[in-house]
Amino acid sequence: MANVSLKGFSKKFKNTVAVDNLNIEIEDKDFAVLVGPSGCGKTTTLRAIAGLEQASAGEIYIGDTLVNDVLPKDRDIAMVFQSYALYPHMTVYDNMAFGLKLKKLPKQEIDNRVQEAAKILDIEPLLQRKPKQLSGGQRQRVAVGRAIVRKPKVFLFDEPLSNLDAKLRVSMRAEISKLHQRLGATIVYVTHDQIEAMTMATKIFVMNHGKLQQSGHPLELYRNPSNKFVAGFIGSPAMNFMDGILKKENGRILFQIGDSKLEVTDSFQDSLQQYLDKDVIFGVRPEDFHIRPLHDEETSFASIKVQVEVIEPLGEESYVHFVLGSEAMIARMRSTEFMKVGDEISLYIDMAKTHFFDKKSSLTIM
Amino acid sequence: MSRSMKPVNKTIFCEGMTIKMGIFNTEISNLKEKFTRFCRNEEYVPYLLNLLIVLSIVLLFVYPLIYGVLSSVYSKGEFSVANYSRLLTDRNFWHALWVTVLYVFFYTVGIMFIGFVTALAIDVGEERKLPGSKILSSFLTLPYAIPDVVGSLVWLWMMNPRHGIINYLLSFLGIEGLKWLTSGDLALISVVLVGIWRLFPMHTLIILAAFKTVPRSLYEAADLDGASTLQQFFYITLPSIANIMKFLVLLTVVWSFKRFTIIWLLTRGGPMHATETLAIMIYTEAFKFFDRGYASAIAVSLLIIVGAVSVLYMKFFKESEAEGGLL
Repeated sequence: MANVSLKGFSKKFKNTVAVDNLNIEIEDKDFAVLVGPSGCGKTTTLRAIAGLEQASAGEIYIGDTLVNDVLPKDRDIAMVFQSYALYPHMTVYDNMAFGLKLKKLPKQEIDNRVQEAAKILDIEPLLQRKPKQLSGGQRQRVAVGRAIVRKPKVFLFDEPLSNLDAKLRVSMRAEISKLHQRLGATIVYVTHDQIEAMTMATKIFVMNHGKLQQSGHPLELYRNPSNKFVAGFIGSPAMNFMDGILKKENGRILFQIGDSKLEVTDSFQDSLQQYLDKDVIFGVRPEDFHIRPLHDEETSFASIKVQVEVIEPLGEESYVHFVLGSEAMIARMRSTEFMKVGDEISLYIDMAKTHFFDKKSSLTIM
Repeated sequence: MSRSMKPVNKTIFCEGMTIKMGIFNTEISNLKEKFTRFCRNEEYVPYLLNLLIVLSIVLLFVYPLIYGVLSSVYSKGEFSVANYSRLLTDRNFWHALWVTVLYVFFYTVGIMFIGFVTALAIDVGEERKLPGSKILSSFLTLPYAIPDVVGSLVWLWMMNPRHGIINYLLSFLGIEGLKWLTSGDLALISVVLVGIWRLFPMHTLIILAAFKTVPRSLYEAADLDGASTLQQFFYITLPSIANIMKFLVLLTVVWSFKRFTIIWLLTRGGPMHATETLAIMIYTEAFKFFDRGYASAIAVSLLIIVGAVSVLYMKFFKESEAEGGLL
């Protein structure tokens, strides 16, 4: 196993910059997830690590080796493609054994490795089938199996779950995580699905417009996003944003949105001084709206009155949609039995958990 | 008793009639309802659309086929298998069949090979963005755009033993006086070559399209697996396009059995029957010797041969398809 690092990596396609000066450090045995919206450059980065794209600038290291000019087959990596890319005319066994046969490994060794991988992935009964005789989930396993048998230094996954249905995706997510623990492998995983990133990663790299926005442990990114993009991208439903102005009344800083004024919590007061009378963006996660203030921290709660527009019951909890100022908001609530669409209700915002962003730079203030 | 029985019988009879009439009425109303639904839901549309196709098939295919079969077994208003027994002993027929088989074989092998090689060249050219590869593919379609008659005339001139450009160019290599269309040894090769020239662009385009159907990710996966370009060609490209190639071979065989125009325009089946395929023989028997019955018998035989080849090939095709094939 090995670490992977990209230093000043850039990739241009004619006049389009797909990835711009990317610096990434992935430690040995990390489960690193590159996440971002379509076109953010995450797949290009993965393909460059694999050697399927040439870097326009910068250096790519696998272990201690600079691999910019090393052929894909010599990089000691294995990749699971979004489309699985199984050879349609070969059986599952041959698909998994193909790379090993080309390496001219002894027949017994090939057989041992294939059988072992098949056992891990529970696909032993499928070994003599062709890919078209398999379901999506089974194809996925075979694609992973083909990667496992090579015993590579680094596993690369390119959106491997995006073709599966929601239920299968959840179970495969858990299986890949288990596989990571079992193999102790370094994994670089690309997805646009932030839930996959949050649930599987030991380290997340959030990308947008070809640039790294933030990297770190999933919960660190969730709690302390470095800018508005990361704050909005990580978490589901997404963070609610409101444009407004910071005002000072009676020595206290308030956030004014339309007619509502929300008193900023004590710990934020000093840091926000320099943004007085300036436009800022206020961010609240859906779970930080409450029906009533939590008793022990009563002072940090600000109250707003809103009209319920939609209630989406999900069983254990519900999403309540409403409009504040001119922004559509979502609150995640435990009990909503007492409210119905059209009701005017009071909500309490846990101000200690809110975020403020600079409107110009979108960077986090607090 | 008998008196009292009569009215009873009558009643039973009448009741029977009533029941029958009742069933009849129900059936009528069912039919009416079905018809109304048929019209109201526009269920007739697919039938109407298909009617035109069915009619044209009947008129253009089924009728001539039946007429052809009947012509071959009716002689002067009587049923006779004379045409078929003549066929079996006619050396010209067996010779024409042999020429046809040779033509089909060399034509199919040749056109598939040239189509494949040119498609591969264009594909590699386009893949590596070599200059001129797109123009080359446009030029390749040129022979396909030229009518048979024009193409054949051009080749007649080019293959002229005295004034043709081919012999002129060959003279620089010290090869002289080749009788491309008038020598028994060369004529069949010549008509095969011109036939290939005329239609190979279509094969090139189909095979090129087949190359494009192979997902790029398969090559990338093979790249990571450590396959060289040549190994990728044999392990990925060829198996992936095998089904399309098999189908193209079948079509080529079926089409080449019936090729007529170019052979007729170049050699009229000569010299000394050297290029007389079954298609040429049918035409000669029907329109030169006016023996329509015998020509029909040969045509029916050709139909059976082509049908048998197709069925056998399709059977083989389906078996290999069942073993796997593309995703």
